[in-house]
Amino acid sequence: MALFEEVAGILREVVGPCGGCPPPITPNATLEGDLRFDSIDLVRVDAALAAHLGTRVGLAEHVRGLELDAISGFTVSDLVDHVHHVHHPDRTGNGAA
Amino acid sequence: MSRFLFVVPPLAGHVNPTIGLGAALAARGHDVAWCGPELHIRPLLGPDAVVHPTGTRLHRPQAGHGLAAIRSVWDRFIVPFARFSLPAVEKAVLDARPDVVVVDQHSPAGAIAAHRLGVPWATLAASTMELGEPLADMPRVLAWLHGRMRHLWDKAGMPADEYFDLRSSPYLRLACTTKALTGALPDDFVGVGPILAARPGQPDFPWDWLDQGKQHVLVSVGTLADDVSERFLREVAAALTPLGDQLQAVFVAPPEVLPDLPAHLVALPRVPMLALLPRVDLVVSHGGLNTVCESLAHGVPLVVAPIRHDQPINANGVVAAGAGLRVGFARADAEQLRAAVTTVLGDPAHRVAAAQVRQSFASAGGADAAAAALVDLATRSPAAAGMSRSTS
Repeated sequence: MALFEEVAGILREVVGPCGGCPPPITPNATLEGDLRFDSIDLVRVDAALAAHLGTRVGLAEHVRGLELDAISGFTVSDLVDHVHHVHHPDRTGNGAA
Repeated sequence: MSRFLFVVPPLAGHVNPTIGLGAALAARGHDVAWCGPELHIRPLLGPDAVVHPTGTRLHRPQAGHGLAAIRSVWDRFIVPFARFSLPAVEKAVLDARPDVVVVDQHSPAGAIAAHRLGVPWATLAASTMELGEPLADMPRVLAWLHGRMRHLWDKAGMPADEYFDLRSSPYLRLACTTKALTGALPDDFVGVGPILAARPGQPDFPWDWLDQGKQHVLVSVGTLADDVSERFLREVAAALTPLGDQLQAVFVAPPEVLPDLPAHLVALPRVPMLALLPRVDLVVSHGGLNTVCESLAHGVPLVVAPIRHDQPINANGVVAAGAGLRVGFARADAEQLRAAVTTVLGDPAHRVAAAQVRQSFASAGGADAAAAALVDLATRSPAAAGMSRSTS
């Protein structure tokens, strides 16, 4: 869950207070629907992740390559999985150590 | 004299440009008629317009934002309405015998009917959603969109090898914007700018309330009433409440949504937009193309809080032109909104940039340029030569 908390922190920074309230960043929250992401937000999170992790994550590219419903339904959990896959391929067992 | 038939969806933002265009054509001595759901378009067009009714089919209300809203507008409105109305549109073309059919980009039944009946037709882009393929950086989404049009073509029994992009006429493509506002406007579209016209049944306005010594802000986020819109309106009201010594603001909103406003703020369900804009210094808008263009046509800069469809595109166009700022519709709070409003009101550069867009609109020619292009198409493509295709 450490990675989830890191990602959630970045999302909170990008999203900012929503009408004065901190947005509920849960694993099942969708970026587009629940967090009101637009294409600019996606690029900002991409840049923030790259700065934080010290490596390019290609989030915007990944999401834009998906089917419409997969983009609309892309959740915080999907984002964490993507970062995990890109950033820690060794831990998933399918990347070089 | 030529005959023109407008095929329009039941949406005010798409019908309004055809009113000014129809008037320009009529002033040149041509016959104009409309085809669409009379229940929705008659109140916009007035009692004297010739309407070929398609009937009205209940559609689920449009809501949401982002790609979900784009899916919704195609799957729940454009595609089912085109399938439902196609027989009536074909009958209208046969009855009205137009020289040119003018087809809104979100009324693809008009494109199919005109093609099947061999009548020249022109595309009219009343939004920026289909200009320059904004979904192109999402290849699977773009494939889905083309699949929806292909589905319509196939279900209409049209020959597979004749399929074309139903949003783009091979004869003439008109768009109600210019490159100064919409950088993605393709070169094969004629950007005529906004087509503004006096509308029937405009409401009155308390003109005496306006204080000449203050700046004036108009806040209009469309007609959709939902929690997110109400939150936004309340945040704007909170943003403007401490600014009573420098401005007055008019909210286009049901007064009950904004109770207990201070004396320098007023909420009205409807306003006479075109009469009011010459007195306005800033428009706060959701970024619908009509509102954005009406503001800029008066040289008024904007703060744009886009919700869905082409609104983010228009918001980015305003920012790129230097004619205003973009804020988050669902997220901006009173403090951010106050900063955006005071920045735009306080920096003359935004007004200068808005005046440059206004100049691009004036050069583009609006209704007169669109009417001239349509008359040219009618003159070079006599419809009688093509009225031979089978309608079966």
